[in-house]
Amino acid sequence: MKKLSYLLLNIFLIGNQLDPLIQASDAINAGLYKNALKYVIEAQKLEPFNPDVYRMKALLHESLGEEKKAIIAWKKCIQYSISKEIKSEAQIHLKSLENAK
Amino acid sequence: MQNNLKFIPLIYFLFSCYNNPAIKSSYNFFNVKSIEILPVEDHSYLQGSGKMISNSISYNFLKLGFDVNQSDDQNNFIFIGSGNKKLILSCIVTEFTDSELIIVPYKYENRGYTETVLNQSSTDSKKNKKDTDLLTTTSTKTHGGSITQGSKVEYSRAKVGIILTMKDKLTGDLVWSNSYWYSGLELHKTTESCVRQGIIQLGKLFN
Repeated sequence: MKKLSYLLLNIFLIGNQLDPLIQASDAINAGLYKNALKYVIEAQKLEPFNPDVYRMKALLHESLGEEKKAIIAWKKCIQYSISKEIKSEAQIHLKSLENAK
Repeated sequence: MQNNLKFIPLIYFLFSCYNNPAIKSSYNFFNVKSIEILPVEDHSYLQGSGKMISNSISYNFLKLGFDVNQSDDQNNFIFIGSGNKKLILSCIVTEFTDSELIIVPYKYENRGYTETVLNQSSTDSKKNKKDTDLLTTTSTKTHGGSITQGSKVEYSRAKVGIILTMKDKLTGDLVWSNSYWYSGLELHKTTESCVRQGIIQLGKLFN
C-alpha cells in the first residue's frame, strides 16, 4: 500500500512538472522570474492564443525590467483576450510603459 | 428617436473620458506656488503602506523635475512656480496587496494517436515445399484524443490602488481628482508604477 501511494505521488509530481504553465507559476511563486519566463515561453508554444499566458509573460518582463518585450506581450494579450478586465489591465500597463519610455 | 440619437455623442464623450481626471476647468493652475502632500494613511493590509506611497509621490515629483521639501511635521512640499495659490494633495490607498491570486485556465491536450497492427502469416503449400502463401492483414485504429480543461495554475501578484485628490488650501475647492491602480509581481515596483501614473498626469497641469 505504501509503495502504491509513493508511486502515485511520484506520478502526480512528475505529471505536474511536465506542464510548463504549472512550472512557470511555481517559479513565480518562488520569485525565480527568469526561470518562470523560460517556462512561459514553452507554454506559449503550446497555447499561442491563450491571453493568460501573455499576461503572465508581460508581468514577468516588467519585473525583469524588459519594457519593450512587456509591451509586445501586453499587445498580444489584448489581441487574444475577450475579458474586459484583462483588456483594461493591459491598457493600463501599456499606457504606463509607454509613458516610462 | 431623434432625441435618443442626440445622446449618442454625449455617451461616446463620457466613455472617452473614462479614466481621465476630474478637473475644475475654471481653476488657474499656472498661478500655483506649491503643493502640500498630506500624510497617507496605511492600508489595513500592510503597516507602513502609507509611508511607502507618500515617499513614492515625492520621488516621482522629484523625478519630473520639481523641487521637493520635507518640513519638520513630515509633510512634503512640492514647489511649482511663482504664483500665490497653494494646493493640498491627499491620497487614499484603496488597494494594497501582494497576494492576489490569479487562476489561469489551462488546457491539457491529448492529441490522440494512430495504432497500426500488421499481421503476417505464411502457409506452406502441400505440393511444393518451395511455394509458400503469404497472408498479410493490416488494421488501423485511430484514437481521437481529448482536451481536458482545468483551472489549477495559480500565482500571486501585487495590486495597488490609490485615489489622488487636490484641493485649494485657501478656499477648500476641489480642483483635481483621479483614481489609479496597477498590478505586478512585486509590491514595491507595483506601488512605484501606480503612483507614477498619477504624478505624470498631475505634472501635466503645470506645464
